[in-house]
Amino acid sequence: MHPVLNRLVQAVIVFFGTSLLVFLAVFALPGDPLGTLAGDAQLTDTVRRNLEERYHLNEPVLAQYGHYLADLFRGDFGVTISGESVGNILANAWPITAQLALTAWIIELVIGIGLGALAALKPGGAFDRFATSTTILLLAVPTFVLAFFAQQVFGLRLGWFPVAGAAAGWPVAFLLPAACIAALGIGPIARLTRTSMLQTITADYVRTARSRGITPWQLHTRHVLRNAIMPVVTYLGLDLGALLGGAVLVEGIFNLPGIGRALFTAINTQQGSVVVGIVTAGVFVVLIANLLVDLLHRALDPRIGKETSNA
Amino acid sequence: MLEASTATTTATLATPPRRNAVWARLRRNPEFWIGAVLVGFFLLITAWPSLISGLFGHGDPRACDLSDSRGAPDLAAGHPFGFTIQGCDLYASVVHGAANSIIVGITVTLGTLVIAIALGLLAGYYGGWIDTVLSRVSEIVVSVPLLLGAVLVLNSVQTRNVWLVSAVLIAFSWPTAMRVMRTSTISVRSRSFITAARSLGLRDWRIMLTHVAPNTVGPVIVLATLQVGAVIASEATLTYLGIGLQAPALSWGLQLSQAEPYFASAPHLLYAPAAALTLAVAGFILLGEAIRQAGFHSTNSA
Repeated sequence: MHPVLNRLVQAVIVFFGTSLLVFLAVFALPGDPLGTLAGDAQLTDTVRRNLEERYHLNEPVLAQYGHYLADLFRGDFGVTISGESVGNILANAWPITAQLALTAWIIELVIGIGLGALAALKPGGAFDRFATSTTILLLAVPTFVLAFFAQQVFGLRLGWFPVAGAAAGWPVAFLLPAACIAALGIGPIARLTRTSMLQTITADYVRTARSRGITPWQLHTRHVLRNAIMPVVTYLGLDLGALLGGAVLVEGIFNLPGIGRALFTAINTQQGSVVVGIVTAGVFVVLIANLLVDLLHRALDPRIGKETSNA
Repeated sequence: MLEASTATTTATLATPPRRNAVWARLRRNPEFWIGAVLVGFFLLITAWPSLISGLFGHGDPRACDLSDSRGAPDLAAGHPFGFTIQGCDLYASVVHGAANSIIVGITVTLGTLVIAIALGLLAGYYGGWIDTVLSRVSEIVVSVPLLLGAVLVLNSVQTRNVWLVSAVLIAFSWPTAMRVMRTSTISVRSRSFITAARSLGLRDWRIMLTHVAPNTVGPVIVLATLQVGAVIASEATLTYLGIGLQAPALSWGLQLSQAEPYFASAPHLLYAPAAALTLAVAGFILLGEAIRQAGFHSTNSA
């Protein structure tokens, strides 16, 4: 089978698998799914019957899963207990989260690659050690703790950034929350860049380029960094899930009206159906992003498909 | 155990990382010492919280007086971190809060290890359809982000304790380690000592446990030590979000989420639990990192 086709088939299998996993976690676990979906709201018999019909709870589990899938394909992520479509909530909230994730991605990339590339220039040197310890410290602070203190210090005390809300627009309102999410990704990116640059530096084509007498700056930017960046691209795709997780926390703390805050509110007000809709959508965004990154990776580096086609 | 069983079966093969060499490298690494001291301290107060919780005052996190609510730190009166919303001594609460974080961290790590080693061995040793099925399942689980998956399951449960939160974290975090285990098992599978063991007529499970596993668990264990800190942070995060541990459990995540609404008027409520959480996570990360570096160098030179 053609490697790309193989990858697509694999993506389809994973899609069905994750949707089944999500479905089972909500509807097949012991307990009362209606109670979960309704949360604190009192269920009258009419509402109960409507919900049962809406989620086909009186049919066999497999049929329920079929309906769930069919709804997903129609872009229907369910309704809140008061009847608002979760799809609407998602449509309003995604642009905010997308801006946040994009900002975090940029911060992660610039700082991570910068630290990693500079550290690789002189392995074991002072800057290398500084970069390593900085990235470990960044990993040690949990995202929401970092967010609290960033908000306190840079928002409230120093007043450099807005304390909360998206009113100031992109990028100002997003810089502080995005930096808090990005902190976790900087370490791995810096480390990947460093390792992969050190490996690339010994490659034949780099030695050839060096022997042609080009400047060290040209050598490092044009030949080494450009080729060493590949694993970082892969990591960025995989990292989207962590970014979304971070967004859930940070949007709640900084009061940004994205999907994270919607999820946070839904958890606190016990609106199960909204939680399920948002998580499902999040999982599929991550799946699609991973697929795109993988295909992009193959397009940029033709060797990939050949290595993995027999895996 | 690792050293002994490899010595009998793989005497002529490349020597595994020498314990002495690893220890020598660890000993010179300041990260290792900082991490070890922090981890040791948190393990100690997990086992005997009363050892230090009574240093300044009565040390009882359950002896609360609402009239003290959000009281400021007062070292002389025996309350160095002040009082919680419910008027409990914050210092005693933070000390007693360590246990839940550490227990979740260690339970999840051990559970992940057991599942990852078992499934990785099966997939790597047998190959074929067992490998295909296990690998596909791991791909599916790994593509659900940990936080989203945990939110989904925990949100539909009414009463949650340490063991449930641990089980959910294990359920979504085993695939990474399982893949590492699978890869290293495949690389060992065709080595001559395995063929020898097989031709002696040993049963598969015995070959896997006594011949394959001792030679392949190294990288997975290193990966696991690196993850303890992240697990502790995840528990605090879930609890902070309102879907982890529940009051009256003593947990840093709970203390932080209760203090959050008052962060402008009583910021001291946030400092102590946040610092404790950060130090615990940092301790495990530093220790794991030091072990990774020490082990990495020696396998490279072997």
